[in-house]
Amino acid sequence: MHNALNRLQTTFGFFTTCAFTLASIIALLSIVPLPAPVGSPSASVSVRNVQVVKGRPHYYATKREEFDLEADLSSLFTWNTKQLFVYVTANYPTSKDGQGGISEAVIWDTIIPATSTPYSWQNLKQKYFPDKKKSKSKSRRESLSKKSTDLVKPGFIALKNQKPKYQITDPTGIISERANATLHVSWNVQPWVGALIWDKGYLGSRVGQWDAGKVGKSETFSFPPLKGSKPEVVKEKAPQTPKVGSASPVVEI
Amino acid sequence: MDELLDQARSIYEGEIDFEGQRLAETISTILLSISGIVAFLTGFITQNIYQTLYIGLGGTALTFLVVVPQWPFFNRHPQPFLPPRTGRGALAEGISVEVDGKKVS
Repeated sequence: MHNALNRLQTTFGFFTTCAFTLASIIALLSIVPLPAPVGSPSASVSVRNVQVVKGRPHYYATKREEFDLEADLSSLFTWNTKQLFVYVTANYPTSKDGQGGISEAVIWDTIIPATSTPYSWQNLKQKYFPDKKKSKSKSRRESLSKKSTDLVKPGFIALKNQKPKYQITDPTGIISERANATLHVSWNVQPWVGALIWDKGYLGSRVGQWDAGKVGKSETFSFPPLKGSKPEVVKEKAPQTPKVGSASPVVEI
Repeated sequence: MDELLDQARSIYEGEIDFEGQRLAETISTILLSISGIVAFLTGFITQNIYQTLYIGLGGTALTFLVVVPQWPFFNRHPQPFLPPRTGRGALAEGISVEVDGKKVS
């Protein structure tokens, strides 16, 4: 501490120690949830209109469908939540006898950032260093986006006839006519400091246990047969190439 | 010229005496701990993590400002060194250096 540089180094070292301790305390408080969350997340999702179509030349059969999603995930937004990642998966058993386990494929996801408080970086910058009028269109776009995030309380989702973002397929190539499929809604909390919290994991059950009865699972449905194919095709007897050594001089047509 | 450089070097290095160093360490520890605690409590009560961030960073900047530059209150107890020996003291007569027959120093 005899030197100014030395004092700078020592003080900065103690500052990093303090910052790290503060961050671990905040992270720990988010896991033991304190303050305890008010309410618990709830969601309901239902399917309509599933279609299976043949995709690209590799004969992957892709699936198109629409779903309704209503969810209330606002209890997951604590002071330590940076954003919430919500995704909808289609789960179906891999094989008919249940040997292979359940396959999950994500059909839709979204990121819900936490509400921009009056102290967040964007708002403070706007307040103290307001953008000059150099780009009017940009400011209008910004004000539009800010309005949308301020009006809507974070964590409320109400979607009707939502088209999925991703078309799914099966590793075997055949997704048509699979039964016992359900849609599941899941979330993942991404904090400012601390561990990621998945809804299916141990931390998720501490922080946001689903409301009883509103778990976010849809009713069971089956993938329909391939679009455009008839369920029973009567194969006509086509002229076949004769077996070796059995060719007769007269060919039947 | 030498004295000017010496002064500049002293300001750049920012040396302080020992009591000042003790004071600097105490001040930095206390200020950083208090700013950390206040930052956490403010953020927790208002449930807004940006408060924690700004108060924590502000407290750290304040600490740097108080501790790092060479303020005069860090130099209030200078070390009482003995005056430099000019060679005219009591021992001077006992030491004599001769080079090539001539007396030097």
